[in-house]
Amino acid sequence: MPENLPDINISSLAGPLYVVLILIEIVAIKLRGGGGSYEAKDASTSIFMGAGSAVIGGSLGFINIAVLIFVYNLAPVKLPFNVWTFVACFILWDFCYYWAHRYYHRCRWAWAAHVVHHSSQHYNLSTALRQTWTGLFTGALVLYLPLALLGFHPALIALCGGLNLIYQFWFHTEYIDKFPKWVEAVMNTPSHHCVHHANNPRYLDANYAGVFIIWDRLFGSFVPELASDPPRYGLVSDLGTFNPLRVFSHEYVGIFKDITKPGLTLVQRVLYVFAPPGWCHDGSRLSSQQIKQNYVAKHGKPKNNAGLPE
Amino acid sequence: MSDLWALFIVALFAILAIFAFVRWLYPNRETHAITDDIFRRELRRHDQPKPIDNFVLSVSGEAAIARTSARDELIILRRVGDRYSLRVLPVSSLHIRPSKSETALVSIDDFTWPAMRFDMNDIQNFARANA
Repeated sequence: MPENLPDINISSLAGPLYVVLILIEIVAIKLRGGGGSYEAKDASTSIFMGAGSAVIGGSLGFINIAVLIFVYNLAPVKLPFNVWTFVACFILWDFCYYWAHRYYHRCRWAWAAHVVHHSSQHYNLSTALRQTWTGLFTGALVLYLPLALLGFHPALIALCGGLNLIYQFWFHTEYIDKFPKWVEAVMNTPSHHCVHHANNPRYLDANYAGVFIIWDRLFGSFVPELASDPPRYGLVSDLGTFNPLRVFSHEYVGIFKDITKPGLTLVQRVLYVFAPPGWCHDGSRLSSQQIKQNYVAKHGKPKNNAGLPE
Repeated sequence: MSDLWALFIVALFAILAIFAFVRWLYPNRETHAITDDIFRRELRRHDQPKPIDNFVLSVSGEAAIARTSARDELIILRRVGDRYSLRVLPVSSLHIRPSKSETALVSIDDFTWPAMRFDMNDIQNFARANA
């Protein structure tokens, strides 16, 4: 019965597991002499952001649950809890996550929260913990409400969300290379997700998937990792600090500065908040699409133009 | 709620332990002043293969500013941990204000880039050359 489901945030409870796996990766990279890198301040900032996210998420998570329960009560059919509804909910949650994640990257308001996760120039397990403190305010919850409306119990939705996030932890690593083709075809893997964290032009706005990479393949956002274009991690405009408060708030500060510029129309101010990151009224910045176009204009069309304009 | 704060405090200890462990296992070898080779390497890495004329080094050696062949363009390179951050900016975005001991604080309009300390003469000469 849905009422018997545990109301726990299993993603936060996995904290000790995360720490153990990070320690294993730190040692493993050292022993192998490659396959990733660690830097003390970078890793500390990432884990601090993760701890803050767990505390804030845990404190305010009841709001998400309350909204889900409200919508669930409107559902015409209440689904039972069994293996089949669990599997269905898990797959559909991942589908919703794909669109939520795409929204994080394509709307500056949501990007201001999500940018934290992409702000490290390293790609290792600690990067997975570099999470936002303001996820609740992005409004992305709306994209998960159809699950409650379909009749999935909020506790089941939360359970699937937690398991999904736990899955997403392990592939933030350079230590593991590619998996057999059938795995890479269906599942999100370190190779697919490192593309998502790279700031090479062709890799921008690619591979949004959580667990199943099939969503990217279906909706045209899949870009494979190419040996000819090794990923370069971090933001298009690198940060100059490890200060967690600045890492957390810098895009919000940027939005505030932009919308308070004198001489803008109301529409321009609104676009500075909700248009894709990089949008500007005077052409002084570049969106990811413009960065890709400039890259092709500068370097010509490469042999493999995956992720670049036709 | 108290569980969450307990989790947070435990996390702080874990962070300190991991910080010390990583620092011991991976000491930062990028501790020397930025050189011409580093500057050019980072330009290539950031896909900015612009020719640079000369650069001025900060007091700590961890930041450098160069001008490009484009008349009103600057490139600022800054070491952040063991990596480098780079910005290509118009000259007008550089703010110089005098500080103590014949140095100047140089900042850009970026919340995540704390001000950099340069020798006053160096930065003035650099600014003059770009005027």
